[in-house]
Amino acid sequence: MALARRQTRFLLVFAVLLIAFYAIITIDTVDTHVVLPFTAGLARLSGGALNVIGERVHVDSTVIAGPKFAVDIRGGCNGLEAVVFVCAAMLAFHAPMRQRLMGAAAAAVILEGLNVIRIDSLYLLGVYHRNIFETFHLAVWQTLMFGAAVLLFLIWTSRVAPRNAAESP
Amino acid sequence: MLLRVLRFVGGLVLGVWIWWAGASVYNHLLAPATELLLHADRRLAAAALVPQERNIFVTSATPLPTATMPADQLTYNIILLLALFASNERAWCRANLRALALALAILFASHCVSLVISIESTYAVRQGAWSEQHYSSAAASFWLTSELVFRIVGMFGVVFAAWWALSHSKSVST
Repeated sequence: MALARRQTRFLLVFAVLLIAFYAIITIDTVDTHVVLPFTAGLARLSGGALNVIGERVHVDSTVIAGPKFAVDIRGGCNGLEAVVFVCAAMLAFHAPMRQRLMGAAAAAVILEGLNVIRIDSLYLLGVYHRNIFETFHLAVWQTLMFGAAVLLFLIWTSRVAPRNAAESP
Repeated sequence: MLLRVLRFVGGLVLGVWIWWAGASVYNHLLAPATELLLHADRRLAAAALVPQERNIFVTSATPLPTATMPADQLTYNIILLLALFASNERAWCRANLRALALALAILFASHCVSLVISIESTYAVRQGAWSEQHYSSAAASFWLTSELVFRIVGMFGVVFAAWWALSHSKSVST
């Protein structure tokens, strides 16, 4: 069960970066000036997509409200945790810094795109299948977001470090 | 990669079913193990953890306030763990299953710790005068922050680290 030194170093740096990045996004100033405006933008985008498919919703800050149901996008639902997670993993991985930064940026965009789908699907579940809303909100989508983060990380490692990728499970 | 994604989705579906169907049984294992850890804190030394379906009820014969912990919200990271191990090549081989068993043991230990953190946070922050009487503001902040970190990113960090470490260990890769 022995781990190579590089794997151990990766896990340690990953853990430190994960906690550090998460600490940064929970600082009040960052939350007020970055996270909240970002989440409101995400709400506008998700609300726009819902209007395109015929749901008549209006968006007020982080709340998407329709005639039957409303969702308030809060910390934990704006996708930033999964972004922080994949950024920590990519930046901890042994690869050229430029590739790490590009990989993290690309993964963040893809994950936030997926998060728009999450928000819209949760709104639709709230309207049409409220009995399974909580299961999807809590378990299924959280797992899918972090699962997507891990898959993006694996795809990225197979491109930037084929030798390591060959060792991947 | 497509096959890997499909195996992941299969593991995810299985994981959701196991988590949903097994949460109440699992709480009967989680409660007594966590109670031992919890008693290390003298403030909560008289607490008894009673599993009640998907929740764990904190009760006591002393004036300790009661609390209901939504335990299933601390354990759903098992879904990601099963999905990740299902995504491995030769998922049913003995080495992968052994690694999964070890990862499940790690996950169980992490669930005990996360339940202790959640209970401490509940008693430090959400019990009104009792909280103020028994926890300093620094202690309350510590437990609340620990709970947030663990519930938002830590619970998935543990799963990823366990899967990564065990799937990259020599016994699995050879």
